[in-house]
Amino acid sequence: MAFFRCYPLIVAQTVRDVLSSKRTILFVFLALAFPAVAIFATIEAGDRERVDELYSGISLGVLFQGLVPIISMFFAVSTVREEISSRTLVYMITGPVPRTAIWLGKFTASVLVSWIVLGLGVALALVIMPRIGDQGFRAASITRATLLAPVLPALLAPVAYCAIGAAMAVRLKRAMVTGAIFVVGWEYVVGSTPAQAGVRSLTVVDSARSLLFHAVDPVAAEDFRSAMIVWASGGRRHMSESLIPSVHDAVVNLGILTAVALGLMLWFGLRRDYDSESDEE
Amino acid sequence: MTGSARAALSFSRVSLWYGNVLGVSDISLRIERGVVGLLGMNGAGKSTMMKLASGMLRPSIGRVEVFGEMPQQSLEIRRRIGLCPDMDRFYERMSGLAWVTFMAKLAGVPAAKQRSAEVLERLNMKDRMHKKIGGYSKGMRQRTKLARALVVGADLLLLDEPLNGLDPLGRHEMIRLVQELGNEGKAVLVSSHVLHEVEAMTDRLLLLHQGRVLAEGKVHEIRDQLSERALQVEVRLKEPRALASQLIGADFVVGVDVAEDRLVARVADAGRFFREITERGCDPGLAIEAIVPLDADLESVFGYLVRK
Repeated sequence: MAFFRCYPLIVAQTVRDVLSSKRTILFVFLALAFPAVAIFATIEAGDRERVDELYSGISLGVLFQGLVPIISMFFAVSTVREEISSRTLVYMITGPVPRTAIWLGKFTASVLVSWIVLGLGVALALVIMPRIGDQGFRAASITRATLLAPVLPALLAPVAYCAIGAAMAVRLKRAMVTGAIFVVGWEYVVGSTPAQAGVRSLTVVDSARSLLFHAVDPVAAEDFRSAMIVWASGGRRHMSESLIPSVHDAVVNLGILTAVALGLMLWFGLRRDYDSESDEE
Repeated sequence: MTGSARAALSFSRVSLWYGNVLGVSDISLRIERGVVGLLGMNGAGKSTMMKLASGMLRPSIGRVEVFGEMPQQSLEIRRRIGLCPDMDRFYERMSGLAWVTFMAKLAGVPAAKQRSAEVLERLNMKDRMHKKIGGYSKGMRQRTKLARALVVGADLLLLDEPLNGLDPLGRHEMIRLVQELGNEGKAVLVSSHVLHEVEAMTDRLLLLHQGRVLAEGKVHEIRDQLSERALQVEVRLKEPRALASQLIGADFVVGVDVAEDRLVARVADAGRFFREITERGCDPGLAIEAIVPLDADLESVFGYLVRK
C-alpha cells in the first residue's frame, strides 16, 4: 500500500534533513537551557531551598511553559512550511505519494526531532541533577519521583504541539507567526485562567503541568504542589487538588487536542491545491 | 474504452480561475504519443496547463484526464506522469543520486538506487550525481528534474520550460533528449515561450494566449488556418510605383507600402497574389528581383494569432 511505502521514507528523510540543518544546533543549545538553569539554581541556592521544589518550578517554568512549546511548534511549522514554500512538495503531490503520508510523515518527523532535541536537555538533567547531592553541593539529593516527573509530559506535550503546528503550517502561510501567537497568547493567557472557568483544557500546557504536578514527590515538592493549586484556583487558598486534572484526564485531553489538530491538518492538506507559483494565505 | 484508445492527456472544456483571475479558459484538447510543443508568451497559462495535467491543480470547470483517469484521484495514474516544473527547488543538501533515488523509492520503483544511477548516467550526470544538488548548475538541475520523471517510468512527460537557463550545449542536449523520448513512444508536452526552441523539438504545436488555445496542429496546418489573414510580402524591384499602381484596387490586396527599391503588399489571398506576381514577373519594365514573404515564419504567425 502506497501509504506504508511512503510514510517511513518521508519520516526518515525529513528527520535526516532537519537534523543536518545548522539551525537545529541552535535549538539543541536552547534545549540545554533547562539543565543549565536547573543545575545552576540548585548549586546557587545550596541548602536554603529544597532541590525538589527548585527542580519542579524550573521544569514548569523553563521546560513546559517555554522550551517544549517553542521547540515543538518551531520544528512542526518549519518542517511542513518549508516543504510548501520551497515548493519541493510539488514533486510529491504530483507523484504516486498519498498526501496523508506526506503530512503525517512531516508531523511524525517533527515529533521525533523535538523529542531528540528536548530529550538531550532532559537527559542531561537526569544525569547531573542526582550527582549534585553526591558531590557535596547539597545535603540532600533530588528524589527519584521529582527527577523523573518531566519525562512523561515532555514526551506527550510535543506530540500535541507538533500536531497543532503542523495543522497551522498546512493551511497558513505565516504559520510561524501564528504559532508564536498561539504559544505566547493562547497557551499563556488561556492556560492561566482560573481552573473553575473550565477553558484551560483547551491548552496543551494545562495537561503538561498537571502531569508534572501528579508525578513530583508529594512530600519533597509539597510547596510546589500547593503553589500550583493556589495558582490554579486564581489565587484562592485552601482549594483542593481536584482543580488539577488527573493523569488520566490530562492524557485524554492531550489525545483529544492531538487528534483534533491532526484531523484539521489532514482536512486542509488533502483538499488544498498547492500551486508551485502562488502560496496564498 | 481500451487502453490504446485513451489519450495520454485530454482536457474537456477546462477552465480555471485563481480567485477572480482567469488561469485557463475553456480548453479542450487531446494529446497522444510523441512530442507536442506548448507555446505561449509569459503568463499565457502554460504552467497552469502543466499543473492541471499533473493533477497539482483541480479545474474550476471541465475535466482533465490522463490515460482515461483523473490524475488527482489515482495514484496509479500519477505514477505515469512525470512533471518537470519550471521552478528550480530541491532538497539542496542531498546529492542528485540520493534525491532521485528517494523519489524513485516513493514511487515504489524496484532497485531504486541502481535505476536512478542508470537514468542519471543516460542524462550525462555520471560524474556529478554524487555531488550535492546545492552546487549544481542550472543545466544539471534541469537534468536532475528530468531524471526524477524518467526514473518512475512516466509515460506522460510534462516539461515546463525545460530549456530555461541552459547554455547552448545544454539546450542542444535537452532538445535531443526530448526528441528521443518522443521517438520512444512517450507523450511529451513541452512548454516554451520561444518559438525556435519549440520548433527544434517538434512540429506539433499548441498555441496558448491569455489562457485560451489559439491554434493547434502541425506548423503548416496552423498556417493553413490563417487563410484569411493579411500576409505581408516584400517585392524587391526597380519600379515599385509601377507595380503598386497595378496592385491597388485588386480584391486580394489589402494595402501597399512603397519604398525606393521595394514594395510591401498586405495580401488577403496569398495564392492569388503569388500567381499574379509570378505573371508580372515576366514584365521587364518592372524588373522584379525577389519576392520575400515577411511573416510566414512561426513568430509572426503567432503574433498574428495573438492580435486576431
